[in-house]
Amino acid sequence: MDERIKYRLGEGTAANSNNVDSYMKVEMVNNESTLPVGDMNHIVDVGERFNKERQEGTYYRFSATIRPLMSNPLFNISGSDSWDSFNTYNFRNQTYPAMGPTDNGINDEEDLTFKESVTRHLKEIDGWFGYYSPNTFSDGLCNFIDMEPKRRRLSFTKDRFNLDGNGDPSDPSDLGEPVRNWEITLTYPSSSADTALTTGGLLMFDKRAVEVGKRVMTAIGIPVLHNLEQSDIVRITGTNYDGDYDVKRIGLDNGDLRGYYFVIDVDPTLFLIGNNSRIKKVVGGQESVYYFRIFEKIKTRVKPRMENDDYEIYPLSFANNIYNDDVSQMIVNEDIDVSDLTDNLGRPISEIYMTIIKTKGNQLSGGFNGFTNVKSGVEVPYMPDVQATSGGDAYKVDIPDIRRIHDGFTNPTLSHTPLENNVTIASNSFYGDVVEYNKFKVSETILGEINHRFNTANRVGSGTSVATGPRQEGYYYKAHYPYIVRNFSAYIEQGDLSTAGIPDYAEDLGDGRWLWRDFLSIGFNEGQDNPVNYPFLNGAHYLHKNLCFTLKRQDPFGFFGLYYSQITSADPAGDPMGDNFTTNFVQNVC
Amino acid sequence: MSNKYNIKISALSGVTDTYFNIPINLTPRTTDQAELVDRKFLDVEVEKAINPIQDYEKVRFTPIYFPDPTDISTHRAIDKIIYNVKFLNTTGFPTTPTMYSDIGVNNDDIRFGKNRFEDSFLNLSFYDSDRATNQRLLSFINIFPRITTTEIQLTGPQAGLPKPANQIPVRFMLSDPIENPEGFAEGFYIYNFKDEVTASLPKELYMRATFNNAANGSITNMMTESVPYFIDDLVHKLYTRYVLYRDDTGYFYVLDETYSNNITRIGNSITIDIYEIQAL
Repeated sequence: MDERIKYRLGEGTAANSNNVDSYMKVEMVNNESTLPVGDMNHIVDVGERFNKERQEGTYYRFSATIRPLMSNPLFNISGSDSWDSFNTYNFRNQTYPAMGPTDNGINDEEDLTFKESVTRHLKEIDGWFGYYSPNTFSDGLCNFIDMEPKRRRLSFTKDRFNLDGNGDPSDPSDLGEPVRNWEITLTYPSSSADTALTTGGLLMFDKRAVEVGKRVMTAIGIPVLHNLEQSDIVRITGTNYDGDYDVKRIGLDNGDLRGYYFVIDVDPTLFLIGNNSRIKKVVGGQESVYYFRIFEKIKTRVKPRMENDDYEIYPLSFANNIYNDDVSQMIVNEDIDVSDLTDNLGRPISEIYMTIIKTKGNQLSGGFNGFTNVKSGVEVPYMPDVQATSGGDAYKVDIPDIRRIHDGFTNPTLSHTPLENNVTIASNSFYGDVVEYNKFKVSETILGEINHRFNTANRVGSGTSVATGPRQEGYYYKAHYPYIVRNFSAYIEQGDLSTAGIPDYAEDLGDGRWLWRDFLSIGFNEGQDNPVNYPFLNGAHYLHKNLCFTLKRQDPFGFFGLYYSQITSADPAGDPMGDNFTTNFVQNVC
Repeated sequence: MSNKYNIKISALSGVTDTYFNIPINLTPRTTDQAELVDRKFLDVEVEKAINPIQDYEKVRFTPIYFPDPTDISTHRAIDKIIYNVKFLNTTGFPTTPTMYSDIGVNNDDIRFGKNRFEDSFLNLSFYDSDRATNQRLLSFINIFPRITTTEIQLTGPQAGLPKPANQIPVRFMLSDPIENPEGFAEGFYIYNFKDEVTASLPKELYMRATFNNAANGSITNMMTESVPYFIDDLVHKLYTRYVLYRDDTGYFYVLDETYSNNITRIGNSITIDIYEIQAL
């Protein structure tokens, strides 16, 4: 109804016209339309409502109980509470009365030699090496003093005797806050990276002759898990026998190292490998790709990246492990926001990792000189051929075996190249793990996890006459611990152009097919081993983790060439446990 | 429809009264409005009917101070908070601290850890406002007396035993449990709802103290100054203000040294004097 009718008065038409009365009849017509009959009722289902909010909620609150298993067998070689301490008057003098007229320092006949002093004083209690105070006149005879690094330097709670020096300038007595021995952050797999280990496939480091059904074949060694099974197809490149092969068997002749060796039917005497020799698994005609996942600090509700002070750690009351080490509780103060975040494959976030980084813990006074840079690598089981030498297998330095990485460059062994040389909390991203991904499977398989390695700065020094150095064996630990946020379905979905609802992260096989796995709802159990079902309240999801954190030595048994032996002050050696029974079984092929 | 019609009256010959029929029609449409109600109206109404999500999570606020009160971006940690409780005697407030012997606790009460001593406590009640007519109690902390190494006799025949009641002041010392694990930390931190404090909007708490004396059963209300006031003024001298802050580095609280005159800070140790109430 937008028709306009303009009526002009007579005077507007002609000068001698008169205005006269005019009448218009305006008809207004309306029609009724039917309204719904009766009351409308709608019942709000509380459970449905809760589920709606839960599935749409993107905020997460994290906490963890950290149960450490640590010890200090690799203690300092000089300075306070070190090997050299046992060479001092307090420990060696046995003359009575001490400092009396007959006391000739540590040169009296009854005085202890350094070796005797070590034997008498060095104790190990619950894995911690230390000594009881040798001063018989001190207040307590039972004061057990840790060697350096002391347990307070490795504890997850702050070291209250080691202050950061950032105190109030107007108050000289305020030396600052206790330092953190470990830093923690939350990360997610955001991208991927290749290294010499993964570019073009997984790097072979060894080939050896094995016998399968009385036939001599070639076993190929991979420094990380190969994720192959008997009868899988593997594509080999960079050798003189490139091509696709059936995997005849996995493991060596005695059944060892099944995850790291596989066997193909090639004459081992003719088969040659080198620095470009690679393998790729082939599934349904699709080659697997291998890469390192990069973990990036996650977003919080208020900041694009989690900050260093967005969490707290405190001792858990009355909680100790069986070795009397304190159990700690970690809580993230900021809400983590996973909205708009996608992982390295463009999928919604399904895993969030707790990343743990050792700090240097330098002490401003007291003689402890802190820890070395933290370097990263992958934990590889003991396989002697992984070791690089300066000869033809120098390329193996690019295998970042965490137990072959040290600060000695070429001494005592050729150090392998770490993935990262100096991991600190200041970085925004970290190497996370090495994975295999196959388009046909639409899933990633973790082949190796990243570990961090450090030593005390003192141990890589030259030491003293009784305890020489440098000693390159250090400690290492697993760096990233997953929180599973969501699960992908165990079933692979397939669609084509006419399929509705293909998610944007689906894999295009290039032949008109798309493959993907459904992103399962929180609380939905599809029959997985570990369905996700965590509390949702206050508008946020709550995730808690019980974390067993183990700090290990690099080479307790001298396998990796880093164990330091010396007649009087050798690092404590590990006590290996042997198998009472053979537990390996060789795969039966025929 | 933008057609325009100009009709000249003179063009209509011999007619003085002119009539036009202008039909205005509304075309009936039988839309199913029930569907619309279901799709739009109900969703909106259901959202309105659902309570907003409340965040019931509390966080821990640690005590700090600002070395430069005009710059709240720089702060330092407080590692000790001392509450000095002072009671009136016959002549007013004593110049020295009030001792437990002054409030009816004797040597044996302390030495044998009797309930008369150990069940006495200082109650700190935190309100959201300092107007007594319109305030809500948010939380409270009860701090009980504790014999520490400073209250132990070091010499003499009774070495190792607590000092006499006339040598132990009515003082409650709270300390940072990380820096001083041997200290008493209950009440050192304040806990409050996380979402009530934002970086731009601190929250103020008003603390009023009472001392509950188990030796004589009396409850003594406290104020922040040692001089008597008329009752109209007294109501403004009851509270000590705590301000809760949040910044990028965490959650903190500050004892407001300008709101009341009973706070003294030396280094990172802070003392709060509270006095038995007296009115003119």
